[in-house]
Amino acid sequence: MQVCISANSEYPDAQMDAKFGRCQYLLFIDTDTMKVESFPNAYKDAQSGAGTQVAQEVISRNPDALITGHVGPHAAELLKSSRIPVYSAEEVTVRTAIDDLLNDRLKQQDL
Amino acid sequence: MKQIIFISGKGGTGKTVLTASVASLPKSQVIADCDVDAANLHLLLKPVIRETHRFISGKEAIIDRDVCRECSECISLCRYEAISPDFFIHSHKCEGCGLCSRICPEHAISMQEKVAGEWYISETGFGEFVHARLGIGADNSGKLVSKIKQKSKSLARDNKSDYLIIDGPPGIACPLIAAVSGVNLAVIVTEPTKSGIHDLERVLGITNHFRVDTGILINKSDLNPDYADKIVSLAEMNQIPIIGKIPYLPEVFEAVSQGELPISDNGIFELLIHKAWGNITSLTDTKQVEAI
Amino acid sequence: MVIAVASGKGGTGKTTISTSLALVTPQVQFIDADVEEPNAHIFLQPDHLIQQSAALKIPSIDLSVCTRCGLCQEICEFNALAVLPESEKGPGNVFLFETLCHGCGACYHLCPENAITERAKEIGIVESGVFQNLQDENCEFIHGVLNLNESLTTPVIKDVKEQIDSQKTVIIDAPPGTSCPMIEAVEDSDFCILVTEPTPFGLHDLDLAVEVIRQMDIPHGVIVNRSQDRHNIITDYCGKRNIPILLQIPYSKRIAEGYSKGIPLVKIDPHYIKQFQEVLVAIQNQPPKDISSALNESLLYADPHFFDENAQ
Repeated sequence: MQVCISANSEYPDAQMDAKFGRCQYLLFIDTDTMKVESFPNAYKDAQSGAGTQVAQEVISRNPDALITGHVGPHAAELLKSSRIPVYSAEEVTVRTAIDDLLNDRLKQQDL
Repeated sequence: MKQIIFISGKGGTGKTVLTASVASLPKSQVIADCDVDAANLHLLLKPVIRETHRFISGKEAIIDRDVCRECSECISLCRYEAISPDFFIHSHKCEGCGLCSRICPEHAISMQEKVAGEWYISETGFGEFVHARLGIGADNSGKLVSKIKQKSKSLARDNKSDYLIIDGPPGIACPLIAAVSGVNLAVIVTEPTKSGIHDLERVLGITNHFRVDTGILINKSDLNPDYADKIVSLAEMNQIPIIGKIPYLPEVFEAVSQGELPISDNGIFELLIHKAWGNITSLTDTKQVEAI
Repeated sequence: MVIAVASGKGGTGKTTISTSLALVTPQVQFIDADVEEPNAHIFLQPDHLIQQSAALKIPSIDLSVCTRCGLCQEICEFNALAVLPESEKGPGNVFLFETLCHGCGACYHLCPENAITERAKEIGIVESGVFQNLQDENCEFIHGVLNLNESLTTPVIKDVKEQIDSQKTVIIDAPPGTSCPMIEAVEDSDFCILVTEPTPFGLHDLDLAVEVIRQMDIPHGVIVNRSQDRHNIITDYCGKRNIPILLQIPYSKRIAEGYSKGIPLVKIDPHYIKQFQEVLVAIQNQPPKDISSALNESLLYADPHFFDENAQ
């Protein structure tokens, strides 16, 4: 499956970034091949509405799941309507977060 | 790391003096001044500036008068009356929406980045200090406040500080909202006056809406005992703890008038500040509020 | 004539000064433009209040006409619009984040399908009413109140100022600070009174305010509130810059207590009625540059006997 995760740096040393809209990077990981695409967050210094722009980026790539920390109300509205499930994780390594997701240890966020 | 902000709604309640006094108690901390429009905390903390950064916020329109043929389309569409009849753009009125730039038939208008102020990282005798100066007439949208919050938080995390002490902005709009987001405790500094209570209620409207834990500190508490009681009742009704009550103390006013911190001589004020800080730490240490 | 009362720093006594000045002014119209924390009504106690909505024009998107092209999202400088394209998951959608919208109209004007109309969104109210000045005249009172959770103050201040009656003597209580809201309130005034206190905070912020007022080319003078000595850091500063000091009000516990109850200064101590009348005359009758010569010594500082009687 395709999983998107907000991260503080590029793979493989990355940790999950609890901020969604102002995260440092967005990583898209294919959990079958463990192939990773990383994108620096162009919106992290936006005056306002960073979360909505990042949400758009995520939605346009249509992952099967998103793992992140805090999602602001505007971004939440967008993600909810996209029907992509959003999961909470602590600021652990990306590998750990993916592993937790695949083993049903992550809680889905009620946006 | 616990984030504690001092706010007031109304100006002049003594918020900055109290923030400075709490900041002067020795502890592992970073201090931030989010009161960016007429910032005052540095006057008491006397920082030595280590880093200066320009603050860019939004855009503003520029008209190339050589290309402009004065059709006035831009003037008729600008909702902020930012373009004068002689095609001069009032920088402080321009919101940077870009509409004029897009509709100008001659492409005579371009948008450029607006330098809205400066922010600084400094050293003080009490810890590192992040503060700013908003440019005159700049749009106080809360973005500079957010920048100060973001930088001071990451500094506190890097330094593994126990506390981030923040002097908050007045009012109830974007700057206040940006400043209180994600704090462990917002201490509302109020005064027992009719105006003070009126503004306290408005600030509580915001902190309740954003579910920010609050405490109330009554400054100049002996000014009007009836109103002080009203504040205590209001606090009880809203289940908000009273962090402290500080009477008007001439020696505090004296010290501040000289630009000095009023804490130095184990007087009443110092005792009351210690007590207030004790209340603050017991609130922030026992509650499991997640700082964002 | 329009007289604005402003200060760099909050809490110096703007409302104390503006309300007392209004009470001694005949044919006065009072405007409280501090829309985030309006307080003047506490002191002037207006009644017969009529409310009007202060609104922003925000977009309304007709999804049946919208093609999800995404141009509006691209144009919006405030990231207030998000367009979800049509896909196998559904017909897509356009989201407007109202709290981010500045009401600029760019999306409305530029949508290629004309799919956007506008609707009014209330962000605050303007209330007008009547109060009694000391001459027992019925005078107009207007204030703006920003709704909680709204962030744009300048549109409400603009609406409040639209009520200005240029036939009267208008007194505007401005918001504190030196950023956009203060400038909007003070702009186009004939004179600006800057209120400060003789502390390093008061001086620092007075300096910022003076810089703004000078850039706006508005004649100005200073009132020092909670003064302890006739000569202080504010009088030094004003002397060096040739800024007239209109009045100094000594610190008095009695005044502070009266203020706490919402009583205007001229009612706590009628001695100040004459002082404020003279300030008004000085501002109105003299060309602003000659104002220092219009003020006599006794005006610049309250009666010394009064000061002794009321010290602490």
